[in-house]
Amino acid sequence: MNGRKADMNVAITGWGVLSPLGMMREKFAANVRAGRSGIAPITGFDTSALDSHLAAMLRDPVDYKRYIPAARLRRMDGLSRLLAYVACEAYHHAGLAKRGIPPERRAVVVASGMNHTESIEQFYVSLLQEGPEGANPILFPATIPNSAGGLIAIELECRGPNLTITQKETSAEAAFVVAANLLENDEADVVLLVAGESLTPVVFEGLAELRTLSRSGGDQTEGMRPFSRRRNGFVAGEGAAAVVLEPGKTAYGTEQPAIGRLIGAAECCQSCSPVKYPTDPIPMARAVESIGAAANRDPAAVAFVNSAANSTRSLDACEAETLRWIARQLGRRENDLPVAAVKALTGEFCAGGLTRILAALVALEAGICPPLPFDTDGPDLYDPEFDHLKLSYWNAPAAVTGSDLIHLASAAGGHQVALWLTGCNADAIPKNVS
Amino acid sequence: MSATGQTTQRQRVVITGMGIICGLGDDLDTVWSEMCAGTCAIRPVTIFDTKGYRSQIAAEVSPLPPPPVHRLRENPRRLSRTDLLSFHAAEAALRDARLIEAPESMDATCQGAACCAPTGLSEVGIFFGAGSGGMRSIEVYRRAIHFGRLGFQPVRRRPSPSLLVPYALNTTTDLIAQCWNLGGPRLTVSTVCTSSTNALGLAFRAVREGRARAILAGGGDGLCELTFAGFNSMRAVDSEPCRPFDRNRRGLSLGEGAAFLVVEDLESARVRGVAPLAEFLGYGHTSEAYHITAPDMTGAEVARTLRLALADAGIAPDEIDHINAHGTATPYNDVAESRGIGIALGERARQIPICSIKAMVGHCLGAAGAIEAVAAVRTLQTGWVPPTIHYETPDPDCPLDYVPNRLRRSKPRTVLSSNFAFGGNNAALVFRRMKDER
Repeated sequence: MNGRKADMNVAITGWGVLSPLGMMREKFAANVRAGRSGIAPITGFDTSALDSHLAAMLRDPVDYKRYIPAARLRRMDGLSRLLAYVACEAYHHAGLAKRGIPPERRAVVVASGMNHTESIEQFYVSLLQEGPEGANPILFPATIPNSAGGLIAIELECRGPNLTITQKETSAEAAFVVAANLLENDEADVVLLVAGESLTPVVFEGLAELRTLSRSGGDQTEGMRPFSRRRNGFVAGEGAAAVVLEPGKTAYGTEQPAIGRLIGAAECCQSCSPVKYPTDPIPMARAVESIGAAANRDPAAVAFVNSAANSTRSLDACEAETLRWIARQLGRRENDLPVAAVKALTGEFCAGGLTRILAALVALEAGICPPLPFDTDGPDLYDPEFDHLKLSYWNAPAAVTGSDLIHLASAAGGHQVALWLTGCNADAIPKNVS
Repeated sequence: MSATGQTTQRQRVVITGMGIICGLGDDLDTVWSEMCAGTCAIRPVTIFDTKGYRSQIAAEVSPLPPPPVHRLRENPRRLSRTDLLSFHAAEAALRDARLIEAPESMDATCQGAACCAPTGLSEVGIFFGAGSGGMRSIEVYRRAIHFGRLGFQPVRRRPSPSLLVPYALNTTTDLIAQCWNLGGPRLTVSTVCTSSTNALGLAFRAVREGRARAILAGGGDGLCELTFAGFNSMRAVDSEPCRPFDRNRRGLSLGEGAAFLVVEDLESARVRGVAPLAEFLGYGHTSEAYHITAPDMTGAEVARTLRLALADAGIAPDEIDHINAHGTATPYNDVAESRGIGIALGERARQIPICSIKAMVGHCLGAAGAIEAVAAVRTLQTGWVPPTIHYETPDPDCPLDYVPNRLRRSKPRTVLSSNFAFGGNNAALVFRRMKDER
């Protein structure tokens, strides 16, 4: 573990989500618990020239005007709308509208790996077609990476720190740590952590060009199959999620019930190519061990591990070895530690970590490990190399009893983050909270 | 005790190394001497066609530095303009901090990063402030694809998809980490004009609170047509080199470059036997929540940011001796900033030298905060405040001392460096001279 970590006590007091699994909290939770995948053939744009045709995309319309006036919506691109909407959902879910927290004490941290590709593409294409006269001054501000953060701040009058974090597949987790540190440093009373991506044709095409997506051809079929022997790349996803974070002590002192709590985080950074996933399982395993020790957690309380497996050959292999080490550190038999692979439901997208965390928390609340969906491979097709993993299936979700979950995230380029969270059970209150 | 109930022990934080590249030069001494001489690096753009734009000028870096081939483990074709600039500044900062050896001291058997890291870089982190990232590479890719699709010209060969790799803003961060085996915390902040200010500030916090021993923090931003066209379309650029705080200012001039500072805990620097360049005292950051591109013209939000930085540093307004201002030369920014400084520092605001180096190096967006932080630290070290060039006509709405056109001897002890970005994103840093500095 190379990022020195601290034990933490940060409560999640509200959340919102827009996901192919559900555009409302209840539907999202029901689909996660049932192991229903959001992956389907792409209908929004033409993929006929490509080898990949599946994605987990938002398909239902969103009633943005529920929170955002039409005049302001017109200035927002697709990603800003998604992020602003879920931010408003979380804000109201946490009751912030009625709690009188000064605007200067409300911070916003946004995570996005691909940022505003839709606006960039639109701006650049009109520039190519029409020359300098085609450059649209109204559109340009929407191309800047922190435009969503600025718009959310205006929408919800958040005048505290406002940061946008970009770290590929660990964007959301890195932003979670930044947000927790803002609370720890007393720079804010609440932080709106917002993470998401919009899957545009240009992003999909780029991922296909780089041959990172699963594809059909020869004896291979396209699909999102974490840990399967037939895995051949990931299926792209999109969506947005937001949580309201507050210092644990304050959250306990108010009437805001916490739906989950971050009690420790650690990052580790391996040196590898920007297009390759880390291969050494040890740093992440040590990171998890150090959080557990620093936060003084009972290893038996870990209900499951929310793995970062994304159906690529290399990352899943590294994850499986990491999970073997984590099981040993927790004093568990290797095949007795339930493992979730939520990306099988949501697809892979850079800032998808927050959606995965919420999926894990709603499954934990139901006492199950998030199951793999119906259309992924059954146990017989799972890679024998991964025999030690206790996976959970849609038709027989693994029942869990612990209060804690460990969330893992790994990005191409070598950045990794481990988060240790607890659910909302009463016995999940950390020992250092009075 | 922190707000989350944890106990934190605060470390003293110092700057132990700096590296810079911008339109004025590719090493710190050259850049500083040109800055002190009031040289303007803003010239006609050569990397893309500017015909038809309101402005045709920018502070371009030419020639670009070569890729660090002796360390690079990637295909050089994957490197964007931002990557090349950032590699160069990062290497200079690491060398200045004596975390790696100078190339001339490497012998012929040198195998790269591992043998050039006598103090071990496995605990050194990297916090990078990104602006447009590898957008220029994407432009090359998109231009080829687009014109091929529209039939304007035949595309004989599809462009290499490796041009797409720099699109993710953290690619530069990962490449630098890979190049020098930086194993400490890693973060990419993308808040445009405050990106590297925030990267430095967050690095400062991480070191102060003991979450890291040393962090290579800064930013890099290469010129690209999208940004150039965007600022032109908003009529935010001057067709002449920009004139910060001047009554006749018409807008900004864009620039490009990169700068890194090694942010380290004092004890670690002492153990390594490296004398600090300056002490890093404080950081403040806020959001105006006012308008996506325009600042709050009362200056109240700028003042709030500066006050937060002063409070974080534990100093009074009277202790500030110099401000390296954002000073973009847009009609709005310079007024809001001047008013904000006046509100935050009171009478002190009129007594201290304030400069904007953007008239020399242009607005380097994601790199601006780090480039200006380097200038602020250099001012502490040398006692010279660089001039705000092209200043001719005082503006009654900008009534402070902007060090017009000529270098000023000042010997400041404590300085502020501030930046303000689209999205209402404001950030400020405080540095102080140290007795035992280099």
